Amino acid sequence: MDILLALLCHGEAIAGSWSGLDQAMGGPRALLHLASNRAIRADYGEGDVNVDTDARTLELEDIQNGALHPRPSPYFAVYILLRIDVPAAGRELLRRLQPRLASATHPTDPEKQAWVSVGLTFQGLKALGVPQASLASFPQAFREGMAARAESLGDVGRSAPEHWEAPLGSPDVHIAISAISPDADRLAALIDQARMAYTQVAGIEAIWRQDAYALEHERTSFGFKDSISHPAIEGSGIPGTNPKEAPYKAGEFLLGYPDETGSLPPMPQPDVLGRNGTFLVFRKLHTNVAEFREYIRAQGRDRADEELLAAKMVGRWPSGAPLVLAPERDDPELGADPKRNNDFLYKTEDPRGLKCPLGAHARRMNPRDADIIGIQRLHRIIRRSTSYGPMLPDGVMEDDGEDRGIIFVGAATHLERQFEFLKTQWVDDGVFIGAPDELDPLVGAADGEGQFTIPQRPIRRRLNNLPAFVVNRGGEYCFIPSLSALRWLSELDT
Amino acid sequence: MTTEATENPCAYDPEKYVPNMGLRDGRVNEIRSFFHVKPGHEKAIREQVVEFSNMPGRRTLRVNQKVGAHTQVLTLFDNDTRFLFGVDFDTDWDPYIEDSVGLAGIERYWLWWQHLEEFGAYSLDNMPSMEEAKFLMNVSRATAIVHVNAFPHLTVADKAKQDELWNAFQKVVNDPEGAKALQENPALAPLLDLAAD
Repeated sequence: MDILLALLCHGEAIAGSWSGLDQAMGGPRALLHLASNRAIRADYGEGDVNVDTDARTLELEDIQNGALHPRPSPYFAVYILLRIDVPAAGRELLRRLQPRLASATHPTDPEKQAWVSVGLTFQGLKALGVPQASLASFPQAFREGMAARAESLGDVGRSAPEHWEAPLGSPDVHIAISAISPDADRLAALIDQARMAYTQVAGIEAIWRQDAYALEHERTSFGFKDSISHPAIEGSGIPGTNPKEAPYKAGEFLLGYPDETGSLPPMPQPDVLGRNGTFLVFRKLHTNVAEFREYIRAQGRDRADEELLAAKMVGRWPSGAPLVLAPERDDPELGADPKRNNDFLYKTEDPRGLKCPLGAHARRMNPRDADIIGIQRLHRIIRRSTSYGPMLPDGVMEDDGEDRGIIFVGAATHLERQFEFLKTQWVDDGVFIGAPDELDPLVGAADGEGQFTIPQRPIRRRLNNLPAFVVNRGGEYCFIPSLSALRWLSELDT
Repeated sequence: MTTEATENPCAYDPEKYVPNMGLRDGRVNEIRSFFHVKPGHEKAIREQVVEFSNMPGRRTLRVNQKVGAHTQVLTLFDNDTRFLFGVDFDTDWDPYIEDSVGLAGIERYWLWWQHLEEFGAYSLDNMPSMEEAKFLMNVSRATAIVHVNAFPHLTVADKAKQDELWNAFQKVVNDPEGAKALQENPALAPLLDLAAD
């Protein structure tokens, strides 16, 4: 009873949590609740930021390195899409690629900072001759493909599939090979090896290629440093970038392991096919940089104000310094310090968004412990995006016609609960933060009618008539099999 | 919706899942799921549902904002042989069901799920996964043909904000200096009008 009174006296933080009274009551039911929901309660700031010593060991030797490893810094990358014309050829290609694929063991080994990854679309699995029963065991979103789900994803208007860059969104996209490296020479060597594999196999056609590379200071075409935030995953050996954030259950990002709800994510069958794999979301996002600059210029009172407005929309300064830690001006030293530039939360440090607006892009992508509808930890993805195309030179306000933007890559085991939720509920909606009329100011599907509120004293500021600064040029869902699964696929005899 | 209990009406089958259910009125959506109470479990489910809803914090605005729930109505009917789970909420139903169940914990929902025939395939040692629980809510639900909300344009957060604004406005009006400022500044005319009653 004393415990109960003490908990109630702590006010809202405990009163708002259903688990508070259960803990007070104690008993086996409370322990069961604690055991299975420990990670979810981290949403209330009660989580254990120490690595869980009971964490199930990951079978790192079976997991493709690219499934877990953060993007190197700096980076050079290539994405190649292939069509399988002959099933046996597809299997032969997978057999030849296997020796070139590194596992996720020894993540800090310098050799592991560059890698090749292989993924398959649902059409690709069909083209390989995967049995129907296995095909049917894949999740619906993956089976349908991104183009078929465009309307529900908000890929409409200029982002609709009829405007996508061929062959993205078509049933011809079967195998995705990606390579990434901290330097151009190693990348070239990796791609040469992969190219040898697919050019020597008749019945495989390379149908699309996209090169990507870190822009100056590793900023996106909008001029902001990105890919700062990476979650810690239990058992991976890869630390997260926010020491205040409890590690995530591996099942949020790898099949075959418990996820944040305590359940095993639905897994493709047979077991060897699904286990240790994951799903990857791939989207080519064209950035309207000139339009962004023009909009900021029109809204800002002077150059300093323009910089502030842009930072408020993004949630960070161009250097990567977070607004929560540097609310008034950029701090390049902070932005460049990986030990500090992601070490923050929102609930106690900025609950009303007076530093980082509730609707800012970075805050929407990862609300951390902020008060939102729902549980943030159920909707996290690993983002591994890269930039493509040249930077629009500083000060240029007119579009130069160059194709530039972001290759969005995100990994998750629940396509609907993670990526699709992020896109539909946190990017293209604002109900979750109490702003139902607002979309993500940077990547939301506004179209000249967007609104963005910047909390500030004495009177809040509101930006109106936000256009869409990002257009989806195409994408797909890929399955990233384990190394065992790739062997199984290459040995199919159907 | 299953209106009659069948031998195994709720065997998990993702193909039978019907997404985007719920009839919206403006920003507010609804879910009404109808279940069958196991014979002999009438008293227990009544007690467990009341306990489930009366936990400290459950009736606070903060938790309701976190769930996005405007109302929750849990009803036993047909001589306590049937149970209705009804919620009106801000978001689309499908994306948020894991959050809603996860906030309380699936074990807490089990307190009353265990008394329902639809959950008969499960036990304390064999709890439904989140996908299975979501499926059962889905197949047991009937979408409204009419949904009228008094303030369909207001989310829970909007209501909280407006409540806050109204209370703050009352303080201004009650303060003689505040009342004076309302009367002297033409830009405050809309507020002055509201101060009249």
